[in-house]
Amino acid sequence: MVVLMLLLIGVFILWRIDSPRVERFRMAVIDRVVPNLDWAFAPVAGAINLLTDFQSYLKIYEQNQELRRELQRMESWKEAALQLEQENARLLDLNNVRLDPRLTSISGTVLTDSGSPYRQSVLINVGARDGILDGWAAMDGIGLVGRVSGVGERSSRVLLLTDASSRVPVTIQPSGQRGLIIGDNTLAPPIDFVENRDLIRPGDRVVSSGDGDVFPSGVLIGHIAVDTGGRMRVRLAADYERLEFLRILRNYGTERISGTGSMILPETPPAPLSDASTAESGAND
Amino acid sequence: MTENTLNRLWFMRLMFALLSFGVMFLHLLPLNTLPSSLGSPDIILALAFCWALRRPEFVPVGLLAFVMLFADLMMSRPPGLYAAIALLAVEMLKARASQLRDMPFSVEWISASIAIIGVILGHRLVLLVLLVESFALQTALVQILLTILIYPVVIGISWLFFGLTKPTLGEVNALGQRL
Repeated sequence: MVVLMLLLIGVFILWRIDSPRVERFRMAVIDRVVPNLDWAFAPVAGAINLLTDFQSYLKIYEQNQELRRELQRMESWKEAALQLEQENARLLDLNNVRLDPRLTSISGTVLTDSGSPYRQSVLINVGARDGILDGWAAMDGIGLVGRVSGVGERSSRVLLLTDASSRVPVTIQPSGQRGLIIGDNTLAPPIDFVENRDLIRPGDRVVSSGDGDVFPSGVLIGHIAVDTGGRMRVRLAADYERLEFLRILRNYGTERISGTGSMILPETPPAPLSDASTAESGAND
Repeated sequence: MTENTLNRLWFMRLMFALLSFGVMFLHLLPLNTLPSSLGSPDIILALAFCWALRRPEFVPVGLLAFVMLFADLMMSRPPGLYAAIALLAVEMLKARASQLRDMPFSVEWISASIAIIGVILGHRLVLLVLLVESFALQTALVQILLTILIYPVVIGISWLFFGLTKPTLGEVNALGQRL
């Protein structure tokens, strides 16, 4: 009994001192156990989802009415979007812009959630075997969901933006203000460290800024909303209600330009022109 | 009435482990990825208290430590701490089990509730002292309440499916010792 207590407390103290090593051990244990239970997770989750879906069928008439109203509103948005799309295509064509070709993605399905009300994370079925690295961004189809924190051989953990230890640097468009999204276990995490609040309005787009070289920049996160306490929060674009498939963005970091001199002057000064070449150029003239 | 054979002893120990893993499995199902402030009852803790108070020999220390440490690892809690506190609480309850046996159910429920409150709040307190990031107090309070409420349910299920009762007077275990 005493030995076991000491052992457990020892594990905890070890975790407190050398967290990364113990977290790697945790990831290895999960990696060993969870993918083997994959066959059981999917049908049970499916059956329970079926039941909850059945309950929602009972409210189908209300839903139908609501969807009709929404569809009407969407028609006008669709017009606006089509016009913008054409304009965007024209402008891209004019600029001959090439979007970042290295930004490719890899998709995985969600195996489990964190299993605890205090932690917001999910486990996905791609891991080191598929080339996943710690820190890569995870999206659903629309917006940023979180980042990879902990990679096993066959699985990896994605820390959601809503987790209390999640911090993501963002840019708010169109004002270009920088800020930090701080997860607090709610669906709409607050945004903080903004320089000038007055420039930000509800509805502004929030995208990742790429500061700190963890995320690629320009990935949509959500829209600004103001809560009853007057605090700015981000209404997340990703659908957190049903996270089934996640896309992990491969991100090998952006190239840095270091040293100013080499931009202004070439690194090696050009060799003095020889007599022969001057003579030749003279002859050409 | 079920016999207290060695087979039954090991069967019940195995069932304890299996039930705990089943509860973990249900917790890990990716049903709800929305954050909620409601919290969920710690059924493993309630199960351990309930069985330890009725039949301490079904929840040996080593098994309990292993199960709780595994739960810590799977549910992304700081590993070891929650297990250590739960172990301490279960051992304290076991020491008191023989006195509680003759008491009405309400007394047992209250002492189990005190242990539940102690474990969850103690866990938070240690995390707070060691400056580990800790989470909404509200969630912890709801968790305590739900765990206390689920305790009689766990007892009912244990009794219904596994015939788990308090030992009656003069009952002996597999080795012939008085319970």
